[in-house]
Amino acid sequence: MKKKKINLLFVDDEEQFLTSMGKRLEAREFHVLAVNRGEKAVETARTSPVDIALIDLKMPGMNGEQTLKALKQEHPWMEVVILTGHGSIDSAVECTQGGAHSYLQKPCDLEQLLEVLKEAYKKRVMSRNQIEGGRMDELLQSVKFKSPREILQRLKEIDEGANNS
Amino acid sequence: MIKDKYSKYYRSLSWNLILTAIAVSFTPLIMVIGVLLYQFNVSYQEKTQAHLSELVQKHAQNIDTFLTEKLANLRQTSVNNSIESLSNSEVLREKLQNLRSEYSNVFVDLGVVDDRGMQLAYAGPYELKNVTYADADWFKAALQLDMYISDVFTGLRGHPHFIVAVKKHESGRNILLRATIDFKAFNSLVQNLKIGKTGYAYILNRKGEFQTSPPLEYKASPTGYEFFWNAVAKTKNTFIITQRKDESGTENLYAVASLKDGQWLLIVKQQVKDAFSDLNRMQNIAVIIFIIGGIAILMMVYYTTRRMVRRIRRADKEKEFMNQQVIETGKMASIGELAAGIAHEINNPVAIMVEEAGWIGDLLEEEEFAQSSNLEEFNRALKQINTQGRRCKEITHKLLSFARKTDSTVKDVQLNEIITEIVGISSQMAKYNKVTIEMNLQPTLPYITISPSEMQQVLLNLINNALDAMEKTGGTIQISTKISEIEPGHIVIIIQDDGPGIPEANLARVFDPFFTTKPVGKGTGLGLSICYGIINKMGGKIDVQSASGQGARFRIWIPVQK
Repeated sequence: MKKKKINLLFVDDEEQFLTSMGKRLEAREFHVLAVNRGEKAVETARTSPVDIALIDLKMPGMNGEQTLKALKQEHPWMEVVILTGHGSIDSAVECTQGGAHSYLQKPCDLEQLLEVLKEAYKKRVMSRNQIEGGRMDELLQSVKFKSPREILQRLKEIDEGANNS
Repeated sequence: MIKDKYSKYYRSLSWNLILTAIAVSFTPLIMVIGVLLYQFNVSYQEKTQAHLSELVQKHAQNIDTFLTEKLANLRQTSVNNSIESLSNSEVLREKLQNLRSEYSNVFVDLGVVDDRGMQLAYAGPYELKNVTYADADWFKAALQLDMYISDVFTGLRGHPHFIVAVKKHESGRNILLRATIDFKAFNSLVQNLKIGKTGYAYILNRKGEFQTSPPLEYKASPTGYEFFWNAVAKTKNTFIITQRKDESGTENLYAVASLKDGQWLLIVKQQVKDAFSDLNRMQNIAVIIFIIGGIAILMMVYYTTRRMVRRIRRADKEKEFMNQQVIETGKMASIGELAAGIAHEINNPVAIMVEEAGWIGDLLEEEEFAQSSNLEEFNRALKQINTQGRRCKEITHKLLSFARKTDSTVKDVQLNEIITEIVGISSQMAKYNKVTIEMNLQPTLPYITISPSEMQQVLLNLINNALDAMEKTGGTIQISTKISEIEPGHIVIIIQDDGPGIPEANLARVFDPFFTTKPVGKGTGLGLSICYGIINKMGGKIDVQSASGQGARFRIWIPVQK
């Protein structure tokens, strides 16, 4: 089984940064979905599976904090890392309280960023496992009363669901 | 120049204040004293004059009564006796005896003179027999009238006396019964009249001759007596009161009453100074009060004004200083904002540069470049770009931390929450430095009223310092809070690291501004002094305990408001 790529939603209004950083992350076991606006990020997260979001703070339109809130609301288990050139204590506090996993400042060492992203992914996997454990329990509950064909059908659904989410 | 201008301004300000205060305090004082003095003056003069006039009129009446009484006595004697019996010296002596015993020796002698001036009989101490008065003024005058009182004259006997004469008509014969009045007795009527220290009385006749013993200062007739006669004649009053200078030039108060059917004047004279001595004393007291009060007011005004102006001056200086500080602070703030803006804007392009360089590095790792003879050189150049990028980042972060705007509005906050937040922010950095942050927070801390923003800055500074200290070694930072046992009513925060610690020599100076042990360009030396300032402002305390190799332990006490 080939190593699974981490789905990373990368949001930054600096197109150039988006491209170069995107390329580097793409080369390092990440599947990068790069968008340059908060609104687009929310849109993308609805249609594509996202494990981690890497968000800039200062952006035209929806800013980083708003994007963080919107994403966390729609996808509670998604991990969000903030990477900004306009760091401040207040915004750091706000973001961590808003559910961000980490708060990094530009320019940032790639190694440090990778470490943080991997950690975030670990957390993400753990919470997914918890969710799936819950689903499994639910499934086992339902197995008692269903025919083998129905069980097979349900398993297939779960497998598909796991691939998509 | 500026100083001169200012002192001129303050001098004119104090003069204005002094003059205003003097005007305000002296005007009513002068008015009150003036009005009171004037009123007192008027009423006192009226009183003095009234007193004097009453005295003089009473005395004039007394004297007139005395004279008419003596005349009446004589007249009674003349009516009750015949010319024949009166012409008998024995009888006359008896009559004199009676009069003297009855009227206390006022009558000196008695004489009977016929109409030719020959003295028919005489009773008295002087042996005046066969004397003729035919040429005497009094005889001529008395013959014309029924009753007559003469002026005072020296006459035959050589000392002053005056004569009272009554004409008796009997069987075609006229005789005059004449009596001499004791001058002493008469004189005492006037001489007893003493007023104040300088007031005395005398009587003048129409010629200005003294009818009483003249006062010491007068040898001859007083000059200017005609004035009184004229004044009496002009006003047709029997009494006048006037003020004029006498011969010696002294101002005198004169009360003048006419006597003896306008033939004599009773004059009471008193020096004005003496008459109004009470008034003068009163005036003197008023003047003294005014001067003392005035001096007191002047001194008060002077000192109060000086103090006031000094205070105004100090306040102005403080205000100016504050203004300067505000301007300075404003300048610093705008410089800070500018710096922060630049730092933020630079972060993005630097990030792109570093990432682009990183991307080149990534590409170089691919096989096709492995053979390139310049690979090493490429890698070195890329590494240099990376290093310089990191340097830029450090610079911008310094700038940002220096220009960091903290909100100093105070709120009721839970200290533990702030600490948890800051640890949350720092944990990433800590993990990167292989440092673990442990928290040991007492769960039931009271709320404290501080600026959360400033507290965050203090904590972040201390944690960052600890992280910097343990950059190479890694380690543990322990943060604990509790109610202080040493300082009652305070919460204590303890931040302990196990880094290399602070050498004892530096321990006393760590809170000094611009003191730093970090390499040049790495630290501003402001972090701890900012912490110190903030904690001081909160009314708290901060200290540090450390020894080389044993880590550092910062303690912060924050007061809990009741």
